[in-house]
Amino acid sequence: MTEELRDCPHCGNKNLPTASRCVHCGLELEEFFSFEGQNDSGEVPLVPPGEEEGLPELLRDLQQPDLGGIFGEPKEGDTRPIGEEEQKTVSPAVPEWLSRVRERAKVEYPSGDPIRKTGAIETGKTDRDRVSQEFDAWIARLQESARREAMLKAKAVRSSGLNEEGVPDWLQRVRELHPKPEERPTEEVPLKADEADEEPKGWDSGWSEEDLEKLRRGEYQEPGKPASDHSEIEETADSDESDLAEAEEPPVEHQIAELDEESAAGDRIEPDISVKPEETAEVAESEPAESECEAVSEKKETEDLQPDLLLLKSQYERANLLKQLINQEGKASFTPRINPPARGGAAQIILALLMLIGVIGAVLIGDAVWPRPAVPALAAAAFKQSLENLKPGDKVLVVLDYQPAASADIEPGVTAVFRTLQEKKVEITLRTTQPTGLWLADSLRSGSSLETLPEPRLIPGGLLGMLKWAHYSPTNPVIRAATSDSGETMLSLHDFTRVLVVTDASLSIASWMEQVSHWLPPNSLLMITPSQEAVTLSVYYDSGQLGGYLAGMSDFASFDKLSALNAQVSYRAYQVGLLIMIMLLLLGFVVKADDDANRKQKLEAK
Amino acid sequence: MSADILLGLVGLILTLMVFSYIFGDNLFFRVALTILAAVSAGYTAAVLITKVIIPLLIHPLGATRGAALLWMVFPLLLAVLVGLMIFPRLSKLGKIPLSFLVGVFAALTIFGVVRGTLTPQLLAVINRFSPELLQNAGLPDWARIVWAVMVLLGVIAVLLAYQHYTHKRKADEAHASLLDGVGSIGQIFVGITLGATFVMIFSTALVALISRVVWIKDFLAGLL
Amino acid sequence: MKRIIPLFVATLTSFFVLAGLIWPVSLGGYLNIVLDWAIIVGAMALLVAIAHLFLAQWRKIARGNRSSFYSLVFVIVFLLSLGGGLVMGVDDPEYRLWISSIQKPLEVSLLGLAAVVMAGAGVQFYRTRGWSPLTVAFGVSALVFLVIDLGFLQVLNSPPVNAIIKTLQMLPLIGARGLLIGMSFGALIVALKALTGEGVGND
Repeated sequence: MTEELRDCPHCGNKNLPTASRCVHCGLELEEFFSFEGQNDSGEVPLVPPGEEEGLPELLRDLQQPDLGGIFGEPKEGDTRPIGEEEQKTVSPAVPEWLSRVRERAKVEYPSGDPIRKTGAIETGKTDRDRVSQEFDAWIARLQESARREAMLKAKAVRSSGLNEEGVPDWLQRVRELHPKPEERPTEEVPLKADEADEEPKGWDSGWSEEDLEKLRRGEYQEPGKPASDHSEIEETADSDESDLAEAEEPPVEHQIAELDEESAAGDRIEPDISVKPEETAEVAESEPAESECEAVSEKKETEDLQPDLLLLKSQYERANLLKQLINQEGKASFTPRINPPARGGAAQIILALLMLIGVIGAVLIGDAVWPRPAVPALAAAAFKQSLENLKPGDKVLVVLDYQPAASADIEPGVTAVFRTLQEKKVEITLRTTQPTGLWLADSLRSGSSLETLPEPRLIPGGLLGMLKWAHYSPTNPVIRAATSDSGETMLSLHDFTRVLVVTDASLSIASWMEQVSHWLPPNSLLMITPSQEAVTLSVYYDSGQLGGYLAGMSDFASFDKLSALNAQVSYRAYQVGLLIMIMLLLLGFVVKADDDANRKQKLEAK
Repeated sequence: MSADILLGLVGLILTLMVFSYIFGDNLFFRVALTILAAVSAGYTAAVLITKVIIPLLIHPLGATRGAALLWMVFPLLLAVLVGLMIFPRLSKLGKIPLSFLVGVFAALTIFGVVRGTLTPQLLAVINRFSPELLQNAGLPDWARIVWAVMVLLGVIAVLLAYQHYTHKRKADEAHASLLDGVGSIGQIFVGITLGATFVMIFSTALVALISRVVWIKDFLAGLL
Repeated sequence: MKRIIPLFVATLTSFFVLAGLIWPVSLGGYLNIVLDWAIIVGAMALLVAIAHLFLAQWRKIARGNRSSFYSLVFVIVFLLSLGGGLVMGVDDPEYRLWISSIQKPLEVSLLGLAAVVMAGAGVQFYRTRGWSPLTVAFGVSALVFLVIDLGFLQVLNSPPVNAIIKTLQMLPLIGARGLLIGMSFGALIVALKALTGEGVGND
């Protein structure tokens, strides 16, 4: 089946061939909305004569009246037109598909490896005939039930190729066989992030949550699989869950409709017969010292049974994947495949409280003066020098382009710079590109006794407005005609000796550099940011696009006019916070190393 | 109760509502977020109406006469078309003004990226090999030479690692292993950068946390 | 036809703006007018987005959804905030004081909360991401920069230590430059695609 699924050109994950959008990344797939099924390998095509060429095998199977027909991946012997007489002789007591499953299992596992892997759990099932008969009876009941239901549903399906909604016949059938609750006339509910990942109710994929979590992290190892494969899995640990879907896909075809019925019925009838990998692994670990003689006899007894169960398990997984894809069909929503971060839990609360208590304690003990750096950063020194070079009467444009969130790590520096500018008796023009800048200037004024600070004005359009200033030429008659009454006296950036931007976002810094900086004289653009932008700014300073910058408290501390700073942020509390972070990072490092060591020990013991 | 105390109490309650998230997502935290979204949206709308739409669009229509008025008709038309997007049936009309906006930003991006980022950044890598910069008193300055080579190789490795992440390669095995090797070096440089950025972001967040604690301490001290 | 008109508008605008940027002396004045229009359209688009947000919350209240309590809070606070701005004026000191007294504590507290959350993420980092050159370099770099930020080493005031610190502080520049160039290429491609019609006029 996997070869019938389509690879998304964007994220590379699997989608139904009929999907109009990628269910993983949301990319539109309309351009290659076509049926696949061309046999590129040159083998005999599976499509029976007269049937639409390229129809996916799954959908073709669904149209067969006998849903118990083809079960495994078609091999050479299977490439006959459907409906042709079965050539092989099959034991009348065993259903046809089951015998094919067993044959398939023998082909796939000639050494009986999977049997050995799970052999230990069969210690209580010594009566081979009884189990085999019960299993066969169960399968027969399921098959009969599935056939009956499918035939009833098939009658209801419209005979025309397209219904009034333009839904093709084959798709209608698929929907008939997979009734979706959201198809009822209810209002559309936005898909939750984790909805697509949920297991359908009553569906046992055979994978425990623990194993799935391990698999997501790339740490899962199939019972009995050589340890060398572990490194391969680890390499994929960083990839997203779409890779998981690929990793989980078993290499066998299946009858989806039948399995849907089986999934519900299977748990009801024979819940104890399903094999879960975790059970297998647990039992295998807990009973490693079974006598070899017993193990050999058990292997023989379960040799025929285990392939069926293993293949059924893989069918469940495949069906599960397909169900997810079908449920997504036609939905325009983008479904993120990232689990939300786990919240809560005592450990998280303790860590958070530790940080909070540490900071509160350090603040209460008493304020510590933020020390002046012995050697100021190069960019901070250049910034300071640039201000020193200003003469009285020089024009300086200050643009507030930051959000209130960063005010604690930005306003002490801005205050210090304003004081320096006022001392220098330069002419300050204050503008803001953010609506919040209008009242942030108020708090700057009131909190730092900068009463003479001019009233800020909003630059409409933010950077677009700045770009206008960069291109302003008062002699241009077109501009005069169009802007004379716009309410804002046009200014030109070239009138200013320095342009000082106060910003808190990398995107904003990049926009200033890309749209404005190259229209200005060299080294006339300066920036003040919180420390979070230090790395971004260093790149532009190194390339000579910035005349200097101050990023965060460490840089602000090199300014003389920093009297109000220590009242706002305690250096001692800051150090305590950093120390706690160092401890937590080291703790995480040690815990992971310890986990790895334990896992290695377990593997070696195995 | 004075206005300052009332506003201080509002700030205190909102701060505590946000920090209640430490014990898990809860009603108070959500209400605080809702209030933040509503205040921001309302204030932004008020500013846009009074500081952008009225002075740039409405006022000139009344004040301008003659040929200059023609310059105002086109933006008015575009603004009306965008405004019609409020009604779902007419939302398609908004495509034209939005396409206009896309065109403006696409052009600004092309020009800005080439002139403001790519050219200066690539030149900054190459200029390090300028003979004047690599000498000190007529002798080779080995520290600068090593640094220049390191920057060049590092940038190439990071670009390869970036390419590795953004595009799933289908290259042949020999190329793939070579790219993987260089990409791993690039990953180390990216890791160093991200580690430093993480610390800087944490530093900003920590300062915000401390400032809130200091503010609460001062406010409570003022009340008592 | 449905796609052609928007594509034509986008391409024409793009070429005109590019021409204005390349020949600022001849076309700069016209460019400013186009930028004015873009500012107006952008402001209107933002207003429409806010209106959509408001209407969505309003509909939730009308339907009586489970989350309609939050919608009710949103609608009341939004109307007070907008009404206050329109009636009193956004330049009114009292109005600004109220807005700042609500918005600033909330935003600063949220950023402060991020410090607490990041502390938890620090512990979980290696468990969730595993070992790779990227994660190991990340962890080591984070530890080194945390130690430098502590300021203990600078207290020594030793020239060799200061030189080492300075060199270490320059290392992130290499990765940042590589990432910046990579992202710029990406942005350029996206813009060129928009210029040639990909992504314009799609429903």
